[in-house]
Amino acid sequence: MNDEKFRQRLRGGDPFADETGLTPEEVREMRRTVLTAIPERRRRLLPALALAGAAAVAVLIALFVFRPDTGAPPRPQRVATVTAPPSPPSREPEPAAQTPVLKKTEKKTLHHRRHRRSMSPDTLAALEPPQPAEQKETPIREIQFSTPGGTRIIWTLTPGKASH
Amino acid sequence: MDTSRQRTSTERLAGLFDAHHERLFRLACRLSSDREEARDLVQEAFLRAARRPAAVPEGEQPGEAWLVRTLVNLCRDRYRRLGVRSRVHESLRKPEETDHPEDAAVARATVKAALATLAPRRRAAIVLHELEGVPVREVARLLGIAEVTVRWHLLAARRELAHVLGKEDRR
Repeated sequence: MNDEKFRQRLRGGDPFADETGLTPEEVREMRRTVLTAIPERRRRLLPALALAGAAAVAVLIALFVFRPDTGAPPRPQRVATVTAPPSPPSREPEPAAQTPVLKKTEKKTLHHRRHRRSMSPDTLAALEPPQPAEQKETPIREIQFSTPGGTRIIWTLTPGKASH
Repeated sequence: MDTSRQRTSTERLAGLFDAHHERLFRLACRLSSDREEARDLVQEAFLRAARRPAAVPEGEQPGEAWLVRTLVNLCRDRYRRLGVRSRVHESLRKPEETDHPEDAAVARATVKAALATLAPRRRAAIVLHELEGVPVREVARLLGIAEVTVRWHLLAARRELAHVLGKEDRR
């Protein structure tokens, strides 16, 4: 079979020869299907995107809540100074020039804690020895500390007496 | 901005469809076994363009070539999936049962069955060149292969078809 005969044979049996092509209805339907494929795809992606966004937010919240406490500065210690009500006058007058006497161990503790913790100016003022002129008017003072663990320490400072 | 891009894609796709759907259907009819299959192939090719508008190159001719290549690839997928070769050999027996081999319908069925024995890309090359009269250079552009490869496919396709058709003639 030479080339020309082959070509004639092939064209004589062209599979498209008895085809009329797509009808206008088929073309219209196919066109609509094809052109609506783009928004359909986007609509299909929306739930997946919403789910991914929700998952990301949940992960962020979980990280924020269960974040390990590393490198965070310690919370400032809460120090409150409360002035106790004035005590009833003692029967025996105390000497005016008497300086406050603290036990040796308490002095040590005070000195140690002064270095360990930062104290407010009020606290420092309370720890200063009272002036002799103000001796009579100085009321009993209480110093309260609260540790981060919740333990409360209350010092009662009575001029001329040991604290409790 | 997104809406305008979408509108541009839609307009571009509409332009491609209006310009090439007839030609693609004609090619699909010559590459597939029946009309319904050809219609599905054309629609699937355009749907691929719709799903990935960025994959379709800009311009009339590159867009057309992309659609033809997609159509041929779809034919290849179907060819592999259905195992056409084994089925075609059975269908080739049908025309020979008739007593009038010169009948046009039988001739068409014979050629169709013979074309079905070819691999999709080879079939596309012979259909484009011999039945649609597309020059070799244009066939190469449409199929995205070298001209020498197109010539090789044409030579091999002629040999295979001549063998099948000659066998039919001898019977």
